[in-house]
Amino acid sequence: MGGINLAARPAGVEFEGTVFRLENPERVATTFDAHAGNIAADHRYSGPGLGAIYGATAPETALAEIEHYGLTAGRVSVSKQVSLGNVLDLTNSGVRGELGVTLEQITGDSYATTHQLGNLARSNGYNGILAPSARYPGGSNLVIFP
Amino acid sequence: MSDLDVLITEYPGDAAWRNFVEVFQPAWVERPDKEKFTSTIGDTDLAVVLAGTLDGHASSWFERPIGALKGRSPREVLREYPNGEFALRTLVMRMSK
Repeated sequence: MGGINLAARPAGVEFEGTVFRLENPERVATTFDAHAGNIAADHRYSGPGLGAIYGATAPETALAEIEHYGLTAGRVSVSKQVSLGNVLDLTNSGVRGELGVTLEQITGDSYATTHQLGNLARSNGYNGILAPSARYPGGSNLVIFP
Repeated sequence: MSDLDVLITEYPGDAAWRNFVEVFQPAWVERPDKEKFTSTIGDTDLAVVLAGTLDGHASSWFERPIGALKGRSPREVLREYPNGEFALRTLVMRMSK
């Protein structure tokens, strides 16, 4: 398997829908903000210093994402209606093919490929990424760049 | 490569970790119950982050088997696994959204 095709520019898509998160009750108000903790964290498509908002496109996916880390205690479900243009759709196998990445590469435990993809998407002007969930097969997450 | 090895090899580095811990320092300084977290968790930086992210659930989380740690508890990883502190640092930086 070669590296990412850095010259690829798959057409962005329009995302219109509801995204879900499970959050501590006292942080519900800021859960969709790129706050300091979000920016300093190390997320799948956004390494430290970048920040991005992650929301699952279905409640069961949101649950699976935090169950993996043992974080369900005390969490409440929060949702938000989102309309976002020019989204890099990595749930589309054709797009992954254009970029030269596999589903396994972007849903595995390593963030090496996904950090590269996140940086590539930002630098190429996409507003976010629709990504397959690593924790809920068939599920997806919307990553919104701040 | 095991899951833990990925967490260790992809540790974002001390500078990124320090920046991350600093986010939670102001709230930590104000806490009257620091001892509760440091006595359970041991590692002060981890205690600062876990108190800030998990609050009252931090101690029970630290003792419980975690899927992301392949069924090990954070305590086990920190105390018994070589370079376990780097695995835990990476884990908490990944899980705090």
